Amino acid sequence: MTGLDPAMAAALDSLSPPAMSADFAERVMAVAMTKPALLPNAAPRRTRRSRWARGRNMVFGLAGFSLLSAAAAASGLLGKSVQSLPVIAQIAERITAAPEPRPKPRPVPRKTEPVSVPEQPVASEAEPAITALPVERDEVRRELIARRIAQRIDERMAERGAMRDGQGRLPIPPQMRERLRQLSPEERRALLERVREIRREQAGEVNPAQERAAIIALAKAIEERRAARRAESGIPPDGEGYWRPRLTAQQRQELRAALARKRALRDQPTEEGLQTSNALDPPE
Amino acid sequence: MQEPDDDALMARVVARDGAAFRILIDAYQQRPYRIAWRMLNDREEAEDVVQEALLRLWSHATDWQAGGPGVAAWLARVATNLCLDRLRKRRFSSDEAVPERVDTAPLADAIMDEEIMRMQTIAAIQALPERQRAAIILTYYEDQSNAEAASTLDLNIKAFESLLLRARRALRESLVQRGLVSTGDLM
Repeated sequence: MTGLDPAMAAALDSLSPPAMSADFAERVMAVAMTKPALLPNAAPRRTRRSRWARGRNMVFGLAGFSLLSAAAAASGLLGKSVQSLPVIAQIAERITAAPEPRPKPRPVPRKTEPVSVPEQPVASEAEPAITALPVERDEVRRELIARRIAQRIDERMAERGAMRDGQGRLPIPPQMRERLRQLSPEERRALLERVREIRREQAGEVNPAQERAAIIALAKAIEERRAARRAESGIPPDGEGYWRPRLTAQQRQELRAALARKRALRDQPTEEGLQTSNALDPPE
Repeated sequence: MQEPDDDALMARVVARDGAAFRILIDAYQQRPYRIAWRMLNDREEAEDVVQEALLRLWSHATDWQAGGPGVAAWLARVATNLCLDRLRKRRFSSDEAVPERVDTAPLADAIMDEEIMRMQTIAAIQALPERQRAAIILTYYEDQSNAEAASTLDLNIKAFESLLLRARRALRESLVQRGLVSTGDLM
């Protein structure tokens, strides 16, 4: 053995064991012959089924514990729950429902903005009494406010209708009438034009000049978009070399007719709409 | 002596062939006995350990795996572990140190000197902790390699080398204390 100096080795070499008993082998043989023969691989039986059964038991136990915990939480045993558990709460409520109804807690009055008291009393049959639960009371309050607003609008319309003259026009206040007299003819004409425009808008009419300008702008935008798309796809600007081989004679004829119609529409006179009648007389 | 074919003999032992078991006893009883005696310093107890190891071989013959390190290595391993178990039991059952056996019979001077040296060596080895003692016995007396001894003691090779280093150092100190080795002899 390496690592030991000769002196140590000499000391260790002096240690020699005594001889074994002469009948040692016979004794061992005698004991061995008395031992019964063992079955092969007599290890403690642990089948795969028992391992699966243990896992299955753990799963079932965990699921049962979860269900019990959820049921306890839903039935309020663990105090007030933060979230209601829909199915379990219904089941628990059905199971734990007592024959006598529980005393309802007193409704806490909600802090609401002060409601302005109406000057005129509204018909009592139209107003539901605000004696229900807080949520219902809010809805009743909103309904009440909407009805009062509608009532005010009706009253204002009635007042304005009473003020109109025989032609349905509202009277011009004296201060406004004086200011109109002081306007120059150009200012008066511009004002009249603006008033006519507003009336046309209110009547749902459209200014022909503005409409035409909008149509032209839209057509230009469409044409530009189409040209850009052609440029992207490699179609020439006139489309001749691209479309001709693909169109039949009938299609070409229809296309020509459509272009002619489009040209005729484009050349239509558009100034007729600009001649509008002056229906509004200048105020005196 | 030509070593027998362990796997063939064990196949016969599985078939409860007493003659094959007797061949194994005669071939391999000495090695576990030497280990046990040096570990326990008691012939009767050492024979008990060897008998227990051999009977385990007989009883667990069906678990024998052919192509392994062989019956001798298996018996050495089992005997070493049985000795360690007995030493642990001794340690927990009694607080007294292992008594040094002094022979009081009158002897000639030479024999007496030799016997004194032997007893001191035994005492030095017995003073080592159990696993250090086993490391010294397996590597020095049984000529096992570090890997074999590590396998016998169920240690990895690094742990066994560390254990062996500590065992040598402790044995040297013990021998110096007993006057068997002088400090000048140490290399």
